[in-house]
Amino acid sequence: MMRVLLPLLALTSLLIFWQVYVTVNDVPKFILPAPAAIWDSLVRDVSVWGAASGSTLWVTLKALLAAVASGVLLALAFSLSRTFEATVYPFAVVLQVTPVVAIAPLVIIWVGIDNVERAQVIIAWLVAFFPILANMSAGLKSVDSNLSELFTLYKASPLQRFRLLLWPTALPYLLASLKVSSGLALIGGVVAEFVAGSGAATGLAWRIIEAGNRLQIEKMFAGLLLLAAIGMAMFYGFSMLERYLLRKTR
Amino acid sequence: MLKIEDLSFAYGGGTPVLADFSMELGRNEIVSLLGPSGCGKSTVLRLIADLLQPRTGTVSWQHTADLAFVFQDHALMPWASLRENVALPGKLSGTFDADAVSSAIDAVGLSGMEARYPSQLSGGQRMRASVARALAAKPKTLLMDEPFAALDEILRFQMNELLLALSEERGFNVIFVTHSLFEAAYLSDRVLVMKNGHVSGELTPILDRTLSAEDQRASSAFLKAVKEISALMAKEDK
Ligand SMILES: Nc1ncnc2c1ncn2[C@@H]1O[C@H](COP(=O)(O)OP(=O)(O)O)[C@@H](O)[C@H]1O
Ligand SMILES: [Mg+2]
Repeated sequence: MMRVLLPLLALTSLLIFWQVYVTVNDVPKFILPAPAAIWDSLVRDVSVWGAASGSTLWVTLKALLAAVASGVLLALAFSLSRTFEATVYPFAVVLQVTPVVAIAPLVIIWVGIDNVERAQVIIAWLVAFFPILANMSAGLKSVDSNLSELFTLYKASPLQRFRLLLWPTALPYLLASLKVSSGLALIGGVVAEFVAGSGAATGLAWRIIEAGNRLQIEKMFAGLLLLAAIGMAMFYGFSMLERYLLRKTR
Repeated sequence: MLKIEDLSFAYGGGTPVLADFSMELGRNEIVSLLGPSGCGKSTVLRLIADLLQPRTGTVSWQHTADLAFVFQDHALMPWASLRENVALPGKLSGTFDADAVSSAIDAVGLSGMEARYPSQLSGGQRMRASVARALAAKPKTLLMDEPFAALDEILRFQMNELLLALSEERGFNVIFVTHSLFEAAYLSDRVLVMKNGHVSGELTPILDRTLSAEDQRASSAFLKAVKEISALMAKEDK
């Protein structure tokens, strides 16, 4: 209860202070708009914001799904062959350490000219993928060696070993990586829209650029607010999923 | 029942862990393997269970090798309930039998806790669960690798009683790895002392099995056995 109440209290105090400060000092709205003005712009264009949020969320979730599928499969392949892992892992690291902003223009040129969303999903997938691979890989390696010997002793099939031993062992690792990767996928999607730049994109990032060009600062704040809300919703959503799925284990 | 002849073994290409290791196990016998940490006791059990292959030597069973393994660490699946954990051997080997699972849980005194998860059990209860999982496989031979070493003494005594009663009741053999002289003397029909990768000494404790646990541990026969094992361990291996 306190963990919900305290941040809300802090947020309310901040908003009140902000509103009062802007009003009392007569701060121009193209420098710092009041919370009420931001709220107004949200409500006025609620359908536009809704569509933009939907587009951003959709891109993020698609990228996350692709990242989970590819990360889990690759981690499994790693666990089956050390040679394959040694060969491929460095390339995964290269993808991870190269700043996504620097890769994005290439991806946009290759696949995004006629379809920005496709480029967005690919770029978001690129950044979301590595934590899932790394965590899942660590999870598969953390199998209890005694339990593993029991599976051998009782002649478990490879499928049984996966379903009853490897997957449940790695699941907590996978769930933890989802919290990180969902945020990264969101960042990737936003970066892609910024790099694409033109009106082909329909997500929140594009609305923010558009508002910036017109010096509609309250709209920029509104877009930021929605991006933060989406990120928070995914983070806490996956936290709750984690707590639910692992409720008996801990 | 089981005859092991001249086993030798090394991990990787490393220094030999076992050299000329031989032992036998008779019907309904409890044999302890006693030796300092790192002398190769766990390796012997893994070779017996066919989890490792010896470099030379043979492990031969008179009948089929129906084995179960109990580790020092309970090795329960934290994501599965007690019942699911105990049902694991049957599920894996395709011989699942709900009655065998219930009776194994009952035998270790955990009935009523079937739906609990390992995190909801105490340390002693987890070890009981681990023993129940082994019993559910209906083994002819139980391999136990320092199973009670992590328990406090009172719990360890209880588990020793339980093991004696179970082996009597269900008629299985036990190879019991321990580094406690007292536990070895108390439980065993025969104690094998290990040194330099093979059995360096053997002792048959002669105890009056009709005594109560308390009287047994205070009896002169028991203390004599402990003393003799201790002397065997101290003796230079030729
Ligand atoms: N998986 C392994 N790889 C390499 N060496 C091992 C491995 N397991 C055990 N050893 C070594 O083999 C020796 C015997 O180990 P172990 O059988 O576990 O002894 P004990 O059970 O008597 O303590 C030790 O020196 C140990 O370091
Ligand atoms: Mg050992």
